[in-house]
Amino acid sequence: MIEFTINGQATSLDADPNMPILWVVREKLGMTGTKFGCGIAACGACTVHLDGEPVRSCSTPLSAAEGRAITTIEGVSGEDGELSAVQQAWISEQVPQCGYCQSGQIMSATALLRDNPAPSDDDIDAAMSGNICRCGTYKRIRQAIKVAAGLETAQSEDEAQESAA
Amino acid sequence: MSEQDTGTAAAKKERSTAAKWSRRGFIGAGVLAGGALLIGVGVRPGNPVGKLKATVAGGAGEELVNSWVKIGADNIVTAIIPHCEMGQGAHSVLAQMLADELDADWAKVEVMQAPADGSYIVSDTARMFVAPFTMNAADWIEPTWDGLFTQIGRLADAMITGGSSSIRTTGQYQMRIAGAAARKMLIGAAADEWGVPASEITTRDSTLIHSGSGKSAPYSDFAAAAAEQPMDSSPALKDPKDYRLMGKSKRRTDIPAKVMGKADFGIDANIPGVELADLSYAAVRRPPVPGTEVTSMDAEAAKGMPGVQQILNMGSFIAVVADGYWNAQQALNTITAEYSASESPIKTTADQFAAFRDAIDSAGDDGGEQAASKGDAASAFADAATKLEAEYSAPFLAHAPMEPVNCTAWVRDTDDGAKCDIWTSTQVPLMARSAAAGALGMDDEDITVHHPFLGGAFGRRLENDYVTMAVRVAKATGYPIKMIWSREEDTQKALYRPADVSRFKGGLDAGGKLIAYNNIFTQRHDPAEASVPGIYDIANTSVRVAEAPLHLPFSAWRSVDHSQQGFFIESFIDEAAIAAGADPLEYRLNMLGANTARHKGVLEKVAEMSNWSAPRGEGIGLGVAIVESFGTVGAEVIEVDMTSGGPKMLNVWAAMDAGYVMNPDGFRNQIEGGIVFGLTAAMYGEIELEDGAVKQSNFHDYQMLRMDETPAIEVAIINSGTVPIGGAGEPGTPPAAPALANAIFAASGKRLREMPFAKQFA
Amino acid sequence: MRKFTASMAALGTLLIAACGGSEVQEPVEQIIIAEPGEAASAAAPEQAAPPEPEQPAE
Repeated sequence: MIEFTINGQATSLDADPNMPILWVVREKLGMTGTKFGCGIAACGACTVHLDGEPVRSCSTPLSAAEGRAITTIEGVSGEDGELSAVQQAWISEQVPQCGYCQSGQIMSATALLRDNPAPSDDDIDAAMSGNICRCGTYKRIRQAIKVAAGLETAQSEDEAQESAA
Repeated sequence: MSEQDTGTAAAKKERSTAAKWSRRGFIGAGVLAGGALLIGVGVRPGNPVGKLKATVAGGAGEELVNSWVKIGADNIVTAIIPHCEMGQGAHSVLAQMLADELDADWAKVEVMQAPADGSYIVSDTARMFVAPFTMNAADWIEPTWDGLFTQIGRLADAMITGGSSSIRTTGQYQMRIAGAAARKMLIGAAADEWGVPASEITTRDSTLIHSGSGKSAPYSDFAAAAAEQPMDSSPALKDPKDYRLMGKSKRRTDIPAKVMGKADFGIDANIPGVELADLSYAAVRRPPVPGTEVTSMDAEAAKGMPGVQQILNMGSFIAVVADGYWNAQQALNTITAEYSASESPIKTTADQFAAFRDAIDSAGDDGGEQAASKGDAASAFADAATKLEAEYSAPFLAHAPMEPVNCTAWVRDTDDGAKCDIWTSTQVPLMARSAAAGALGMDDEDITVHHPFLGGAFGRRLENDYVTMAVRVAKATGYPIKMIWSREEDTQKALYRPADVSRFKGGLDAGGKLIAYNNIFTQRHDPAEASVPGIYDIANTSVRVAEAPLHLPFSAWRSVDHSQQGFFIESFIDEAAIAAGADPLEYRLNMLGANTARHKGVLEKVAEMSNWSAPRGEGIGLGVAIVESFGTVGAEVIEVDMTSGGPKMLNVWAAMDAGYVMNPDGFRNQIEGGIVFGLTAAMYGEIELEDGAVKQSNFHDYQMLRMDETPAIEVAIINSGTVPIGGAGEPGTPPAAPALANAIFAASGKRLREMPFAKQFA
Repeated sequence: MRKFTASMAALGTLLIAACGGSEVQEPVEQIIIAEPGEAASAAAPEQAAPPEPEQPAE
């Protein structure tokens, strides 16, 4: 029996301690926001937080979560369902295309901004280069991080319309 | 030229062709009327919805006004979208187009994925794919084409998303007409009820208004009555000046779910009625060499592994079914197998390229199939003042969508006979159904395909190899299984953008003008014109295709042939410019042939954006490339810094002319992504062969461009008004690699003729 | 018209690709160890595995 909290919820599970957190979260707990991309910690699609630190859940065994707190994309919004600043910026900058990697991108960006509220471009490169986006939305991810940090102004829908007039 | 400047021209052009669109029949109506199609025939009340009504609009208070739109009792307008959503934004933009013609309140518009049903074939997309020359047919023949392609589309299961075509085919020829027809039916119903002429009723924000009597009503009040109105197969469409949603950067409807982790992709499939703990998972392994079979397997160790339920030798692959994917994959990893011998003589990358060169050598000076011919290219080359000879090559590439290939399937006996349900990410849901039917020996009607969001596709999900595998496993087990490919399987056992070699012999006259263009290569798939340098005025042109064996199976990869041909052609044109001592951008402008106003426009725009003529520092260079693909003309300039040895990309400027852009922000996102896709291939993309198998296996050796290497990207849109309009998903990709190669030459003097580039500086 | 013929050939290819082989292929070998929903991960393979349930090739 392994005990941990997930998105604030105390949980105990009779599961193989060697099983990667990714598959526990997806297949045992039914939370599918965390994605499988490569299985070797090379793409970042499976990024979750373990006690606040971003980890690649495809390569982190459940045993590593014993007594600790896992946060997934489902736990990023406020308790009232209000989207986090990062999520809101992801919408205002219209970041996702297919969206499959974006849970992991948001988890990496969230950890970056918690530790570094005003990241430079180099800081963003360092924190985000472990996350692949095959659709190629890096430009927008960078911009959204700056918007979430308050370094840039969010693009409103009206502004987007104006720019297209 | 700003978008503002060109708006009027676009308006004029669109107005002149509006009549043409409206002549098109209301295709869905025709199909639903039992195939007796056709055009101009008003559909009788009751016919348009048929049995679809229950499956698409079964909710309380819902009315299906026609096949593409339903209106609920709460006045929510739901756009039913026949294309899949793989990140290209088609769901949102197609809804925008329908809602605009319907005069719907955008805040009350929702999007629904159309079910995998023959009623939702996209006949105009099929038509654009196989017979683009019919897209602007003459009046008298249009009904014939329309009817033919509706029937063909039905037979061919043409519910397909690809070819950068959703907006310019289904959007222009189906969704807009659906919206306008639905609006007219609502007006007709209100006119009958209110006893006023239909011409006096106006619409705005999902509301019917009769100002004379002061009456107004939400659409929902008349949804049921509207369904009884005759359907107009040729409703008038809006002038661009009246657009309220089209041409605007409305936010995409799928994005909120995607930032909350709530968007369902194929891999997230839940089976109704099956407990999470009871779902089984399959890990699979195909033989490493294409075309071979499993001859024996040793699964002794796997039998004792945790969670394992079944181990299957399916002949063409091995599957382990377990209580979770990880357990299944762990067990599969312990299985050893023997495979049949490959009949392919190609074992290595060198063998494959030797086969290409042999084919080209064998074709000699005039062998092979002539893809384009003008003047006498051989003589012109012989007589040229300056001669250029160059050989280019491009490797195999995998698609590598972030969501690995997967498919969930359940084959079961019911009181009503055998049934199969499939949940998968696919660009071709009806073809997936046919593939499953073939593999199971079942009828299409007994198979239901559920197709949620796609975690990327890029052409990979036009194939149904994985669907066939999943249903075969599910049939063997008799219970539902979710098959997931490992990234290794996804990289090594897929279908690929073909490698190729392309040889050029070019001749310049004394003034530096390119007057002889001889080109031969081996891979021609689609689009047919990709290998033809048709935008340039070259007096003597010969383009030939030699036939060569291809070791790995072909599949369309974002921009298809343009992905190699863009690099070959635009690099060679650059070499000609350099040989002529000309500025590469100026040289291209001077060489443009007939009907190239758009090409001139994007080249001039991208020159302005990049400040092309301004001197750069030592070791920093600019490269340009222009490619017309999928109806869009795109020019890109890349700025690269070579001072630290390898290429460091600083900036990309892109000017794109798609005629008219329906959602500028969404279009830009597609072009930005297309550029990154092209630069990834240019820098790193390479699938190699060893012992007949693919060498690369995962993102550590099949590298992707990442955040720290991605240059700043700026995209300008030119709305020139060309009709039919161009696509968005693919046109950003082809110019990226040649623009980078040309920039590297400008910065360093090193001409790159092989992709990928990064390893050539290692 | 030649182009049209070529296009129709392309459509045919698409159709063939879509349908794949219509031959129904059974498993060459099927080893059944446990049923879904059973505590398979806890079950020792000796207990769960039926005696050589391998099926002959069709």
